[in-house]
Amino acid sequence: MMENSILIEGLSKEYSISKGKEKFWALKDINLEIKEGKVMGLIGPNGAGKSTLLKILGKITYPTKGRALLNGSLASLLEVGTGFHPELTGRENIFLNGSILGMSKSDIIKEMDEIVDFSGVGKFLDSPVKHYSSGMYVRLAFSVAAHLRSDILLIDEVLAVGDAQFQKKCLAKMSSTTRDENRTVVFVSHNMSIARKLCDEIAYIEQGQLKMLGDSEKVTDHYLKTLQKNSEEKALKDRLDRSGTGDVKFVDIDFFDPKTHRSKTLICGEAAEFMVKYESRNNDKIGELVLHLNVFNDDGNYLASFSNELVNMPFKNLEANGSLHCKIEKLPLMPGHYFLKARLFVNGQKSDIIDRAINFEVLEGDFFGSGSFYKKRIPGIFVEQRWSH
Amino acid sequence: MGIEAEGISYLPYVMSGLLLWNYFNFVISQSASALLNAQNMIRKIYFPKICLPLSKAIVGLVAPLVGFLILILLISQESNSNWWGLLFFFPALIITSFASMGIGLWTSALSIRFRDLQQIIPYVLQILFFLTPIAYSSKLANSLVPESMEFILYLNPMTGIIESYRSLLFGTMASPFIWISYAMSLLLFISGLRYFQKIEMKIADII
Repeated sequence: MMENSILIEGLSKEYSISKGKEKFWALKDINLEIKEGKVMGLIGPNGAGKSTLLKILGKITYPTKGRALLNGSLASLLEVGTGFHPELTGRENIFLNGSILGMSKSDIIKEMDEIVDFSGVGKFLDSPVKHYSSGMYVRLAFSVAAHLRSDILLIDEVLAVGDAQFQKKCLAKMSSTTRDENRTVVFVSHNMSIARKLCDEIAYIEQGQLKMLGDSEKVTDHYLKTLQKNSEEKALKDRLDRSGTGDVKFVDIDFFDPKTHRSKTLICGEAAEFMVKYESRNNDKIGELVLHLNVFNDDGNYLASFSNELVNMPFKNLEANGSLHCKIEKLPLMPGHYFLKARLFVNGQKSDIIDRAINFEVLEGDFFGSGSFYKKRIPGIFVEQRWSH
Repeated sequence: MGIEAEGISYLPYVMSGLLLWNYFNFVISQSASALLNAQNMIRKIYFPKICLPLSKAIVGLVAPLVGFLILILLISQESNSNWWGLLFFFPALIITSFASMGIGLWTSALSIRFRDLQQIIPYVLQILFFLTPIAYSSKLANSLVPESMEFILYLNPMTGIIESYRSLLFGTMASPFIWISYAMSLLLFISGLRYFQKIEMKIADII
């Protein structure tokens, strides 16, 4: 019989900000049930309250109202490598970290070989971790946590680190432990493809409230659509979800097919043009400007970058208002939906950064001139290639 | 040795008090920063946070235990002492640990709200060192205050603890007020424990 592993009822968390004068609800009336042996994903924009929820489940902080009932032993991995001591060796840190996370000494000894094996730290095991590369450090820390024998595991965005191969290994390990040992996992992610792959159910949280709960495909689709809608509703100039000094700001980013001049639609394999309008705050001339337009596919995976820095084309002494153009002769993006992360640097300082500046769609086209149209659900990039045998 | 206090050689006399004081001093200064130094862990891992300040009382035991061996050597040279009195070092150490853990709990808990507390503590301890009869006799201290105010000296837990240990070791005088120091030690410990438990749930949010 399936039992509730985690039961969250009316959970709210209030923080007081600006020296107690103002109140801020980080979480508001969250109700959630997680069944034993399931993987629950938490998605939502930054500051939505996902990490706060994990912290409450992990008993690190306490709810203002409501309660969370956990059934079984708990291990949380909110940050990789907390409790690692830089002066101790890898082996000693496995013991230290393992015991902090709640493993007994005999358990650690039993799992030692497997942990070492999994981390791939190998011959560096007996040197102090301060000499490790950051990748090795993270791999070792995750390996310890991955071998914890707990009924419930809380994971916060830790797979964002480590190389792709290790990420894959972690995913495999996580899904196998959940299946074999009936372990319940709560997992925060910003990467939709990982979330889809790993989670049985996903909860979408925004501004401290549970917006949607259900099947992982459905919720991630809904979330991505909401994000898209948000970025379309407001003109780029008026958007508030930006960071940087603001000396020079994006006013508008437009893209079109230079042949048809039809805005917002691009065709795979055809020419494309991006136009970026900017303005400087005090109508000052701009010393040196570097622009990055990073292309991500709908799943949030980084694909490519358009930048004047890449092609070594410095923009110096620009007018206070103006536009920059980027022409692409043959658009290599596969048909599908994309978004741009726009980053602007002035004299080496971050001036304006918008995470999801614009969305655009690339329509089907014949990139290779082969007469066949290729389509994939998760779009990627076409690379010119020649085969032989 | 030429210098004496209450008819006892100065070195064993001072040593008997200094060993206890140093332990007291160590535990307080270490536990005051215990929570702040472990911020990262507190924010990411669940564990009973009270372990952090209390563990310092165990770590600090090494120095007085080594010092005790030196005290034995010094006492063996001193004719005016009771061998059996040496053993009271351990109960004295335990009461000192309660007093210092009590203050340590208070300071560690308060230092997350008032961060500057950490900077002040060494000075306060230094002043307290001179106010405690360690390098001088409590007879001298008592002669400087009016009799009706004498009990105030014993609000400092170390005054009574050191004085009573010395009286058992050297047969020197002990004031009837020493019980105030014992009561203070216990009071500090219990109130510290209470206060710490009260704010324990909020530590991760404030720190």
